[in-house]
Amino acid sequence: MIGNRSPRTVAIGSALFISITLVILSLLGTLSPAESLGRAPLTFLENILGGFSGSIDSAADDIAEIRSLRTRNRELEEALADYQAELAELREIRSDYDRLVALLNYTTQTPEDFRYVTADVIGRDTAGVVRTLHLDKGTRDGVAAGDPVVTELGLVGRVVKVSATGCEVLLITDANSAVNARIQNPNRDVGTVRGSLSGDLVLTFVDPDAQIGVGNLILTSGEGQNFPADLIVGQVTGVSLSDDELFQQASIRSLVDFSRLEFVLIITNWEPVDLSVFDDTTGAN
Amino acid sequence: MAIYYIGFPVLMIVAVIDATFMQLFRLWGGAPSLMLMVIVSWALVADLEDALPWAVIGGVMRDLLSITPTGSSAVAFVLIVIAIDRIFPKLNWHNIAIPPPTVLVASYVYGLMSFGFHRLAGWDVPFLNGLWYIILPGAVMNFAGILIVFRLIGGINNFLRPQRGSMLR
Repeated sequence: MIGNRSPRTVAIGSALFISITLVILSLLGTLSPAESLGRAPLTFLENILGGFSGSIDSAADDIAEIRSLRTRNRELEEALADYQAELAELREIRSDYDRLVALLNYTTQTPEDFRYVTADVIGRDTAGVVRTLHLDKGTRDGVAAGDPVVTELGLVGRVVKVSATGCEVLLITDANSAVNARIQNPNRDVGTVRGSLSGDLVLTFVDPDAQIGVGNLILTSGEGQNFPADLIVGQVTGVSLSDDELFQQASIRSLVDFSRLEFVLIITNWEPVDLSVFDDTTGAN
Repeated sequence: MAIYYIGFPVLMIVAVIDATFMQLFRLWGGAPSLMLMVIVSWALVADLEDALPWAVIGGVMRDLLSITPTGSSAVAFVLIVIAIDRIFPKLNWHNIAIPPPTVLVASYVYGLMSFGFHRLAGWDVPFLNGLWYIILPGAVMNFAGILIVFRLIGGINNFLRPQRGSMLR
């Protein structure tokens, strides 16, 4: 029967059959080892070209940003003077805290305990629908799916795909991302930070009685065990009521410039507490 | 056969360029897609039997550098190639009227299919806002850049298969 068909029909049929089969196998997860293998040479090339395109981007930015950097520098110098006074006060509080922690024998994983792997940003998702970054570190460097990704300025995202030599990170600015967060205010109110199509961050599901102030820091709460606690997410820039007026919401500005990231830190030794046993008991997701 | 030997590394490099250089031109949520421009150009100048392998291999390469399920771009590219083959005769590589509107429509077809596959894979995709925030900027940039790519691909096709470069078409 196939012999009677024209080469065009065979070509169309084969192309569609191969493509659709690949999609189905990929959705089922059967292709993961092959995808990982196929991604390796592409990651190698991406590593080379990514560095080169990053240099071009940086050079263009450097030229464009000199004027704004001067203004920003002046602002930062003024802010530094304020922060130095605050730092002295915080050191005193830290000293009290350390002594109280020792007294209570309270143990928790602090940022000093994390093991970090530094990774270069070598590319971004080609489809553009989901906000992701490609990094040049993979399973060979101890990276695993689910690892949190940060910079010194705060939370960046979470590893969602990993190959031997590279990985893909879902940014917290993506609409699919949700981070359980805590407001650094006296009541330690909680909420959920969500990304959006435009890349803006919004803190939602905050109690309507919560005292949120512009400038409050937002940290990860550690609830849900998607991220470790106390990673900086951003700073509140505005507060409003949700559309249904049941919750407060706040717009958040991350200190991280996601469009200009060149390198990040992957936390490779953070192990979330296994909560699946509770799911089995209750039948909830 | 030479066309396949050249095609594989070319598509590999194009996929990597899409994930690196092309991201420098990102406007709102969209960026130009060199891969889509190459596939559309190839479909316009070459036979269907030549264009389809490029569509499948190019789609898979692109998906390997994306969070989309592998093969989803290949499905979209194959359908675009088939549609182009049905609508247009083989074009001369000096044609400047057909490629820009074709890539504009192809960008929307590809973008909408990409949204659908993302949704199928469980990602939240805002379809309506995505039409102007993600697809439109990419489509406009593809529209602006297609003629350069079309001339280049037409030149390669002419070099490999000189009989297709006739000015009579």
